[in-house]
Amino acid sequence: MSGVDAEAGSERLTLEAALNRLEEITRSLEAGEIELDDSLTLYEEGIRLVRLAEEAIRAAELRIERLNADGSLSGIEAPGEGS
Amino acid sequence: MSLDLFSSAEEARRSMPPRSARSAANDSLAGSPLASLRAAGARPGQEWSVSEVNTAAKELIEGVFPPLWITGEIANFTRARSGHCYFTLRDDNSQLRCVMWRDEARRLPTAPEEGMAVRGLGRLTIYPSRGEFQLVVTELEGKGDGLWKLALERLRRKLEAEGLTDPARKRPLPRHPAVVGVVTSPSGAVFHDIVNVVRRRAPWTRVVLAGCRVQGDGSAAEVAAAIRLFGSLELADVLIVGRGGGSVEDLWAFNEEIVARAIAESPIPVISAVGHETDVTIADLVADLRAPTPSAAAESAVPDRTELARGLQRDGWRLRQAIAGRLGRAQDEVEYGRERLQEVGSRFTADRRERVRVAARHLEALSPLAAFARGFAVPLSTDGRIMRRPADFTRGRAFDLRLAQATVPCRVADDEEDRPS
Repeated sequence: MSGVDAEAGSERLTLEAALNRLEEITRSLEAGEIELDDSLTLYEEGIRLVRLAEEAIRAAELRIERLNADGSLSGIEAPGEGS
Repeated sequence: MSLDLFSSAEEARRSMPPRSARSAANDSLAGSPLASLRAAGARPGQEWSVSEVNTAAKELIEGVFPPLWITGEIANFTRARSGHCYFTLRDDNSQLRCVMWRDEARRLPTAPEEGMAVRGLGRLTIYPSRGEFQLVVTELEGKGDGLWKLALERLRRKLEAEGLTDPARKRPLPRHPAVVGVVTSPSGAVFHDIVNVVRRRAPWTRVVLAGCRVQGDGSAAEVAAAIRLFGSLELADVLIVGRGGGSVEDLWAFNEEIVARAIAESPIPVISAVGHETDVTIADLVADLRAPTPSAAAESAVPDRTELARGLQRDGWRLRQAIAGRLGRAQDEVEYGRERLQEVGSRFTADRRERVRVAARHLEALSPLAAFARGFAVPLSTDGRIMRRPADFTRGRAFDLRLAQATVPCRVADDEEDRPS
């Protein structure tokens, strides 16, 4: 995603938020009750979100961490592929 | 305690006592109450206190009987404030007083019901201060997991009464979690399976494991603590809580109230995946989603990348369609506007033409030319003004008489004689 946010909270929900926003944009554009200027702005935002989301799901290394009892996180080796 | 004990008290009675009795007698330490009692017997003049007799009897009983599994029905089960439990085991003909000390009683899933068929593992003894024959029970099981089922049923009813199992409480899962939290054993296959599914379907996801024991004493507290830790840190978008298959006792942590409450109170939606598809635990009832297996839980937790990519393509297409439609409509609007403008313009012109015609007619009516046409003439002074009053016609004054087609020069007559007769 463009500019992975340093702040964990906003980074976490980026894909979900982007896709929700995309859904919202698509619906309101399809409803077609918006001024032309606003429609064009929304359209541009929508296309940008599609690109961002496509980018985000292409990035592909699964990150695995352990949550320790004190609330800290430590990286762990991924269990190997296959069962 | 050996586990290949007697499956019934009957069998125990048949095989054990003679051999044990012998060894107990031989093993008795010299100087024990039992040994002195046996040595002295009922010699004349020999007397024994109640304590001596009870203690000797206790020693004998404990020495003779190995631990036994005893089946029967529960009667008068009570748990004292101290935590010790007292009850009676009985069958059609006999009763046996039983006690279960606090440490063992703590492991009971729940208190057995009156009349419940159970089997207990215990040692026979005599409680010297009362001279009561009793069984000190270390394990108590309901027939056919009856005690577990009873405990489960009781907790289920309790949580149900609080509304915690209400399907309306179940929250939707996020469709695209960035972080999946997993509460399970770090060593089992469960975590492995979950990681594999997430890697295959949504490799951009972070998986965070809070490892904990999932069976045995204290495991329920560990599971609950891990769930609460995730919640307090708001670290994950969805939690998978579970373990692999096992006996009802193995799965028990997931039937404990502490785990049920941790799940019910979790601010993060919880997917449960406990045991096999046929095992329904309390955790499953309060979770937002119950998955039949850990892999299925992971599949419910994260979207599939192929589908998601297809969905995004579709979204792009929908956006383009929508904007094309909107632009088309804008063009239509412009077109319509132009037409209306033309229409209004042409109406305006027609209007004006009509007004010109009406005005022209009025002008025409006002024109003196019309009067000339009817035979009227207008006298005009030599400086071009209309002569309206008799005083304008002084004697001998020259003037022009304007007719329809011409202007005739004239003169006012000088005297009466000049008037034509």
